[in-house]
Amino acid sequence: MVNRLMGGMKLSSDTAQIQGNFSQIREDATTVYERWRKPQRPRIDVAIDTSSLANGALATSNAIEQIANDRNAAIDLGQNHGYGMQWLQPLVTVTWPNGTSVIYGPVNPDDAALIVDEATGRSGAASALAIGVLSGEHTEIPSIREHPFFAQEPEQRRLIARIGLTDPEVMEHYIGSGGWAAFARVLYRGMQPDGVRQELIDGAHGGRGGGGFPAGVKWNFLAGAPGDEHYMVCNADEGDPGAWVNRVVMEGDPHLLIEGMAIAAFATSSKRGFIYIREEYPLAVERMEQAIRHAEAAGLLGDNILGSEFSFQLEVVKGAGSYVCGEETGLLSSIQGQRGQPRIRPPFPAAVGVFMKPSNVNNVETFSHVPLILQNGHEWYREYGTEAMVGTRLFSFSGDIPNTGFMELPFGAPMQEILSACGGVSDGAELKAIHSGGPLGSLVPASAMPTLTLENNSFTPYDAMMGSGGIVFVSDRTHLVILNEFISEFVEEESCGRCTTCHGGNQRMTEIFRRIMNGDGRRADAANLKLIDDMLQQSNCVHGQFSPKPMRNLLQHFREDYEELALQRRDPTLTLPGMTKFRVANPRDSKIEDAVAICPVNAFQGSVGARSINDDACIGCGACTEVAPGAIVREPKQLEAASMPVSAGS
Amino acid sequence: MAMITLNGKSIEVDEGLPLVEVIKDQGITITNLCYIDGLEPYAGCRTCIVEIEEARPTEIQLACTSKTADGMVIRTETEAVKHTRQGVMSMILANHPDRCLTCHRRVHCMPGDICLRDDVVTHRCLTCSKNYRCELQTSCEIVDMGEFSEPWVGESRSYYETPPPEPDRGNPYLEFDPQMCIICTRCVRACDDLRHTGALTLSGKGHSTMIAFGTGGQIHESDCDFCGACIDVCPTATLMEKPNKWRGLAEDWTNSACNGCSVGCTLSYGTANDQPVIVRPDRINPVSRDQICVRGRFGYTDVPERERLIRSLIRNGDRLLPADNFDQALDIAATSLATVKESAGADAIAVLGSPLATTEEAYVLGRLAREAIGTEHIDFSHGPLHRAVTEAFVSGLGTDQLPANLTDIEKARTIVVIGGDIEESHQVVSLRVKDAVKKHGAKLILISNRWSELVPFSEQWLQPFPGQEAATAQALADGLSSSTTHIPDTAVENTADAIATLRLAIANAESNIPVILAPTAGHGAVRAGGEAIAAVNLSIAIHSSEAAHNLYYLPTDANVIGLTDAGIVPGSTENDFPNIIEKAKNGTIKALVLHNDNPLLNTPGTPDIESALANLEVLIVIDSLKSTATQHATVVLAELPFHAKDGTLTSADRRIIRQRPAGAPQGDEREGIAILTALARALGTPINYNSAADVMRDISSSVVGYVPYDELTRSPGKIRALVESESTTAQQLPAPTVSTIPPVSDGLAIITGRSLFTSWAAASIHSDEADKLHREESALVHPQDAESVGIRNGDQAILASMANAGSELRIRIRLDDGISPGSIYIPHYYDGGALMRLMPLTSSAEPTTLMLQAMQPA
Repeated sequence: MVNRLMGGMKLSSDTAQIQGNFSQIREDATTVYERWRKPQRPRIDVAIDTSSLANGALATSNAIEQIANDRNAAIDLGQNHGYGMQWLQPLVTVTWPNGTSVIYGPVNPDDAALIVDEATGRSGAASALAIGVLSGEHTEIPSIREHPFFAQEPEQRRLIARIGLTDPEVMEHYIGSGGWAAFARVLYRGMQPDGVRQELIDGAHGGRGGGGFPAGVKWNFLAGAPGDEHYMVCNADEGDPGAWVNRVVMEGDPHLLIEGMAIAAFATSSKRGFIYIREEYPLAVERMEQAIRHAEAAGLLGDNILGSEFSFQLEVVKGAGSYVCGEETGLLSSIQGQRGQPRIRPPFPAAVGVFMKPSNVNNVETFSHVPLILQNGHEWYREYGTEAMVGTRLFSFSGDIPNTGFMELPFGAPMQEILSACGGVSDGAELKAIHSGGPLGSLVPASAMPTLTLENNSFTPYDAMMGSGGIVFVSDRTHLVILNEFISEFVEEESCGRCTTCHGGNQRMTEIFRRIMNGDGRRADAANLKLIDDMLQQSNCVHGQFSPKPMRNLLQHFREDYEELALQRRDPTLTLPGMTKFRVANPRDSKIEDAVAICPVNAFQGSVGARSINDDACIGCGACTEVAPGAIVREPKQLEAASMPVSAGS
Repeated sequence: MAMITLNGKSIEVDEGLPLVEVIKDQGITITNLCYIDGLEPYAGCRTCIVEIEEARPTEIQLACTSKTADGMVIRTETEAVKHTRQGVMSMILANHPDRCLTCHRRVHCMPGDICLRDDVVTHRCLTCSKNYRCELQTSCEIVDMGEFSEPWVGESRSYYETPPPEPDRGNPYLEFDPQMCIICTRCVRACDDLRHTGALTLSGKGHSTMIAFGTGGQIHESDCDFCGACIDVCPTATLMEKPNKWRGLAEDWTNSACNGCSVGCTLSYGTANDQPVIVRPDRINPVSRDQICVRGRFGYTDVPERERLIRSLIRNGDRLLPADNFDQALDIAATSLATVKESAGADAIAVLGSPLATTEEAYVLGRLAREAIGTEHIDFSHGPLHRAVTEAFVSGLGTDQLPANLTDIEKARTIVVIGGDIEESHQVVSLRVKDAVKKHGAKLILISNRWSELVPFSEQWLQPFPGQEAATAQALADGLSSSTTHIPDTAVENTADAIATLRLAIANAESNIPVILAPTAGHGAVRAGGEAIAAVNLSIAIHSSEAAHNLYYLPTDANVIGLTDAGIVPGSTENDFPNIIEKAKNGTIKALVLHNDNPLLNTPGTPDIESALANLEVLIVIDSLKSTATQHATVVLAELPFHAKDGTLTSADRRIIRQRPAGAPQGDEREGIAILTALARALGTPINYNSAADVMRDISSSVVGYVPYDELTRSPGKIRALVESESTTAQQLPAPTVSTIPPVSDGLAIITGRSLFTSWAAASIHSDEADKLHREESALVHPQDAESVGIRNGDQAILASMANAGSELRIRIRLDDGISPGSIYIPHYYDGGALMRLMPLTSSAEPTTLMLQAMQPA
């Protein structure tokens, strides 16, 4: 299809010609897509995305294929992107010729036969695995929209409306389901760049990277920059632990991002664009690159898009594993092939960006909303959200909850309800904190839950920020100091090395936390952490400036927990290696020899049936309690409280 | 202009200046450990904190990233500023030995004292090589770190709790001790932005962030040129000069000249106990400014103490023995010269001067020759080559005093370089060329026989076969002069593109298109003359009547121009250097006074020169070292080494650079002027000068363009010995003689050149350590040629002379495709000038060739 189109396309400022070119593409794509939605024979789609793959989707897919081949079953196999219930992976969708699609999960290789049975007409064979109906009608299975996990989502998904309903690797599915229409309309209606920008400003479309700066206003800076060499850059270096929302868009609907960037480029007279994707997202890289190739072949990217005078070259740049390249100026340096060090501002990217030319950097999701806003209008966009933050946003939820996954939620959604949707706190534990915004984000106390909503203003009273989409629920079984140590170590290792305050301050912060975790807290630590906090404020970029936030939140909201550990040297969670000892409670437990076998340091002593643990050898990894929970118990080490105030300098 | 209030004082400054520079200019002390004046701020150390009223988001701001603006109110000494600086400094000190830096007793401590804080010896400032000249130390004083608490004591990865990383002491110039590093990256930026070398980088991230040379190996394995720009900017003891590392605390500083090449850089010698211990660039020189090269920085250490000639020598049979005193040696010298003069006439005596000596010495030497001896046999071993070049200037441009100014090169947009590898021979000029390329996108056209570090900076590299340099430059001149672009078939690759580049520059009305000529001394006078003719023609083709203003001539040695100006010129060609050698060989010349020169090292034809020197009845050598020529001497009069001399040099662009003595005489060393005047007096001619200043007064009254010292002192580095004639002519010269490319069967054509790391002085005494890095101790052969004689990379081979039968050289072969097939590169100073033995005394347009033979397997 694609090659034929390119040949037939005429370069023209004639809007009718552009419209004609696009209609042809859309017509062909719609045919393809409808055939996919209503296949001639049943089709089994295994969700293939990074999260699913990690949960064995490939094995499931292979098993299904094997069985279908063995039986010579009259079905087809395909793929889509997981719908969001990631604790139920691997997810499988079955679509029947009447257009009904049902999601099943978790479908392990052992369940493959049931799914094939289900697809080939033995209705009810896999009913135990059914999660919900994705589309069409089904008498026994409720709609996926009624699933409690999505209770807080809008009635209809917007940004991720195609997730599960398309094969992300087939461009025709995107176009056939309304894709590229927004951009084509911009071109054939002869919209002007400033008109496009105004539509976004009217929609109050805020950047989704965390700052929430209005995208349209930011684009105005670039549009007004001198010269005609402007660059449009997408920040897809999503590196916050606990955040994977950009990945969902890139792996689930890559063309949406491309269309958004093309519109952005049009609105700012940019002729070249880059999508900077972290190397750790190989599937996203693959799908984005493939999508770009497809779009280019169809004449939707490259020179003279749809035969218009507008040209836009887009390419994927892979990061090299540096978190700080997610800072936009560090990202620009990295694209240029330089060390990924955030730059000194001013000058801002709109004046001096990639290759020292005017540039604009936005987040994946910021771009991806753009076609929707242009397609449906800014009033539609404003239907959801709050006064301060308009629209919906993709969030990923993880931590001490049974139901991990992602949801598209309106800004302002209540956190309490979301936690319920996620199944509450795991194992009946109490919620301790909400960790939002990744390692440069915040720790909000559980007491905030009744009033906490997904909106920056709601986090502000806690000296906190909502961040870029990753929300981690932390239960009281995790000590916040160990979480802080983890965060601090991460931030330290990812410091670019420019500011002494950042690479030095975070080193010291990590060391203090490690010492405290080891039962060696000092009275001066709180003051020294405050000093680190103050010094980190003197850093050049947000990496340094925001890195003390979780620590500050710890001291603000969890002072008692901190002091109990640092000064009383007590660890109620019994999880800190330096403060916990292990004891054989039942030497006759049948599992104890498994524990002996797994011990990495051979800390068990005594003969079979009379095992005990040598405390000096034990490193407190806790592996033994996992294999033999009935035999071995955790106990606090007896440590003296930090009695003497350790005066600095002595 | 902007009015700012700095600590309550209103001052008027330019708008948009980096605030930190303004603060420093006002004499206010401020910590700024990563800033390099004149470069973009890096803002890594975060110590230049000041308070700026109404600044956003906080009033605490960095002075390096803040720019002056009208109405700005700045305070540098508030409590908040001080406290924040202390906090930041504590972060830096956590990974640096700091017990002394924060100790209140630091001013009382002596190295032998027992430390009350239990600090081990290796961690103390007192026992640090940078003590009392350390910027980190000063910075800690500024912010009173002694009164700040030490919050990070004992933290697990702080300095005292971790084993120090390995230092790199693997080369003779530069030591890198990463345990002292505070990761300010000044060195990285100096190497990148000041030198365009890029040998240093910031590696790792987070805790493992560290400075690395090259890809993290040893310094001498990286692209490092050992210029030491990184040492100059290092605020700690991380990067240090290896020589005198522990003695480098200068008691006094003397600004003086470098005689490493003809660029004429100003060096600042730090001296202790009356001897130089450290060298820094001196910003008063508008060409070199804050940059020098490895030769300037370490040149004073080239000749080891034990090799320094501190006593005069007199011949006793086969041996040269120390004289009882200077007068005895002088007496013998004068008597033997007088004897020759009496028996064979003054014409039987010749005098050779040296471009490594001062202009004042040359002037006195000239008077000695003409007045006291009465000979016209006066020259220096590079004299014929220099005159071949200047004759072309005189014929084409009407003058040999080129008004072109080296400070213009870095501003140019198009540059032509003809000749050798100026990166190695004249590194600071090469640096200014790179400046032009890097800062203004200048297009460089390079005509050079072999690959050099300038090639990656060039727009077009024209690689002529040896002997074709002049023809290649002439082809550009011809191409520009003719209306049609006719490129001869014989032209080297890229000629047409280079002509196009020049045409574009001319079309853009660029008025500053330097044509830089750097003839290679070892290639002989005829080829240098040909290159000069072509350079003149090219400059005229580009600039017409402004040709002289854009033509630069870089002689190999430092003071060629001063020496010539001072009168070291033969009476006629009959009296020039080759004739002197010939006449000495046949016995017409019986005595020679050799001042600082060493013809055995400088010029081709060693067999002839050796037999000439051996044939002399009297050879008086005046030198600071026992050069290879002194083995034929009758008397050697011990002179001060160059760095201890008083006088001037005249640089390539005729800048008069003041040379001031750095270091006192040792033993019985005398000033060159004192020796020469004493010799004249002993010969019965009263030439009396008390000092170099006296000599310069005489020079300034007789040589146009020269001025007395007090005038030089008033505008250092800016006065040029130049008489700009009203109308310089611009007369295209007949194209230079073109050599033919020898067939490969006739051997490999020699390319030679001045290598960066080889010291003239050490080569002159034939020291094994002339090339301390041992980088240049091999010949480069094209892989194709090596294969045809069965030589592999690293093999030893024999190079047999075709000019001087029986002369051969054993050398290691390195394969290198940076030279043309059919040619071979051997460094000029390799093995004390061993190559010169393979080349003929008389120069020609044809390249000298030699046979490459594999050695039998051992």
